Amino acid sequence: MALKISVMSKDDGVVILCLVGSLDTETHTELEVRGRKELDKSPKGMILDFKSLDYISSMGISALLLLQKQAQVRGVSLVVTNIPPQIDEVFKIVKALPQESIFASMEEADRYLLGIQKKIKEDQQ
Amino acid sequence: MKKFFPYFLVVLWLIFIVISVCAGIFEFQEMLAYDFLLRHRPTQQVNPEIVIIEISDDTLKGLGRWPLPRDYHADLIEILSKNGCRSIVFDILFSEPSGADVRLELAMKESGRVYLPFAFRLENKRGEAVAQEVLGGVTDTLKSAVYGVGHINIFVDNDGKSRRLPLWVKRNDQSWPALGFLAAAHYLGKEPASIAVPFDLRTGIWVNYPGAWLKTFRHFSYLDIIQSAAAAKKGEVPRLELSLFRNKICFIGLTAAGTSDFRANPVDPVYPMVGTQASICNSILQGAYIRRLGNFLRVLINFMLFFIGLWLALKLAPLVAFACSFLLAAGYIFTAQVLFNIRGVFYDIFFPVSSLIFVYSGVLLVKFFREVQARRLMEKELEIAAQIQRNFLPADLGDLGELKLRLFLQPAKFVGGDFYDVILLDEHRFGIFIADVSGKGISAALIMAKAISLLRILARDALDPGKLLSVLSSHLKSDLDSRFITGQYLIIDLRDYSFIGASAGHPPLIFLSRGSGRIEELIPASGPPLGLVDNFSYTVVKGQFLPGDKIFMYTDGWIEARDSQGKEFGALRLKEVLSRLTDQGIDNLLAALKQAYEAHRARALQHDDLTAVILERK
Repeated sequence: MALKISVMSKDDGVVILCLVGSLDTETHTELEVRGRKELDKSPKGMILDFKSLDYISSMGISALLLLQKQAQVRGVSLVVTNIPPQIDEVFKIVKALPQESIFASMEEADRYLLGIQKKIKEDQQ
Repeated sequence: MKKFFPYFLVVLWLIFIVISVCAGIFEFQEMLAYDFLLRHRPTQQVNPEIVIIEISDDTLKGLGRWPLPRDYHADLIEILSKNGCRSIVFDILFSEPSGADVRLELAMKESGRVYLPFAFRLENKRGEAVAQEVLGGVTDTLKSAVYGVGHINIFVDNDGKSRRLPLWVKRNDQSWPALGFLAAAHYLGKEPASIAVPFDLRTGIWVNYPGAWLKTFRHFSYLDIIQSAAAAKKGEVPRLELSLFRNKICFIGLTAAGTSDFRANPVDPVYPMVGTQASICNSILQGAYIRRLGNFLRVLINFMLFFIGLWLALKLAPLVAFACSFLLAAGYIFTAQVLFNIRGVFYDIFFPVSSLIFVYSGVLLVKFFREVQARRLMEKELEIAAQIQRNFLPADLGDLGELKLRLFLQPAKFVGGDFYDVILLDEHRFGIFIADVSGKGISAALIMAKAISLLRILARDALDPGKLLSVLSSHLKSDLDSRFITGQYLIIDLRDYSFIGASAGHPPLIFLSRGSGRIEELIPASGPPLGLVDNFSYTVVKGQFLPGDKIFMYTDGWIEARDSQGKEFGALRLKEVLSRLTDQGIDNLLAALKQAYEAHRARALQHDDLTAVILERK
């Protein structure tokens, strides 16, 4: 199955990547390429919206971990949200992603990233 | 030798191009292409001084059967001459004498501007059109009265079409010009020999048909002229204003249906021969000629298209090469049409375009066979790699104490990332490891090789499964980049058949209790997969084997197995199948599970590696 990624930039500098389809051996490079492209634009944060993601394989998880690593290097907070039950099940078994980067809804993810940004500003002051 | 074979083929093809062009191997096809160009050219302007006087059905109906009495021709000459006609060109053979020849001769002499035709039987001698004999000519009576005589011979190609005619025909050291050519030359006040016309001695001149018969030239009925003159004489209003023939070159010919004076040509399937002479005349007056490029240039064009096609086919991906070749061919044909329309120049189309298709197909075929060969080689190497990988894995050890052990691995491709290992720690304990490298195929297999080697080194020292997973993960972290390995490690003590285990991101094992008949999941993942974090503390879980109990350790290939609709086998279904097998031996259990898997997968491809380690306490 194919993977479509649509990108939406918010006013607060956070970029949302909506994944549709399947993140697996055939499609994981699309996330890697697109994600890296968006990270190169230095967003304030990145949200991966899994609402329309049907399937994730171990290679898909690898791609996610790679993107997370790249985001960390660039100082960008990367979170995942709206995880469907079947994918949530995989995450629970594999425990590859830290719990603090997984959110049940977009609002929660937004709040978290806003909090991060506020903290960074305060630290800078 | 093999290295030079492609170059040899190229040289061979180049030689073939030269021979084809010079020998005209594809001449028939090129003529069809020429017809295409001529038919798709806009209708050409004809010189308004050229008119056609048709002896058509109405004339034969009105004046009598063919051949018409020559008195009528005499009348016509008088009428046209009286009205200032410049040239009267008959495309009618007056080979046999007739009673009215005296009158006709007189009319012709008085006019002083009549042209008559000859027809010869031709022989192509050393490239020249040489007349063997006269097929139809001018009677002796009329010879002295005529102003000019020209031949009406044409060349007919194998398909019956007339595209060219000999500009000159030689007979008895005398050269006869084509009738239309003669009329045009005289109209220009010149002799034919003084006009530079591009033609080939061997192939003649390409007749520049301006367009379809009825769409070109001004056409008048022979009958209308005769009747108009009669009406004018009577003081009646004539049908035709005869003064419009002033200064005209009038071509007179037979165009009645069912008569034989027609020939197919590129623009019309039925074209009167008088039109051919009028077309030559028009061509001379307009200075509009059709020229074919010489052999040298034609060969050069063929070479060019061949090499461009070869480069495209070799350098570009097949689909891109196809698109480019198609565009090149289309552009080539388009250019040919434009050049023909503007300059009247034509060159080969069929052979160069065919050459392009041929070279593309040839290269594609060679690439395909090379791919097939490379694939076969790759498959052989993969088979060897698969064998090597199988050699990494422990053989089925059979029974360990009261424990029966079965090991099962079925990679999705030749090689895979799943593995298991059985490590004898001491006389009482052994460890069982099952793991799944993220991804599939060769890359996963290479990681598997490293991981299993590390595991065997580290396992002997680390008796705690949690500690082993932690140390193994730290060792692997630097090598795996974003890849990871889910793993589950069990240590079994044969003294009391207790076990301890830990899991790093791996699905929990399924414990089948003989006593209660229940199944439960044990040793779930207490931390991330191996290779992601350093020094993680994985939780160790304890358990106990009772007689008849079974443990099923597996990789996610089982639960993620998809049918042809994409539906997964699922963890629930796996547990459901196992729950029905709690009282079965592990051989039956494995067989039943495989059967359920195959029934679910049916014709769908195996999506992931399939691995299982099954233990049973007897």
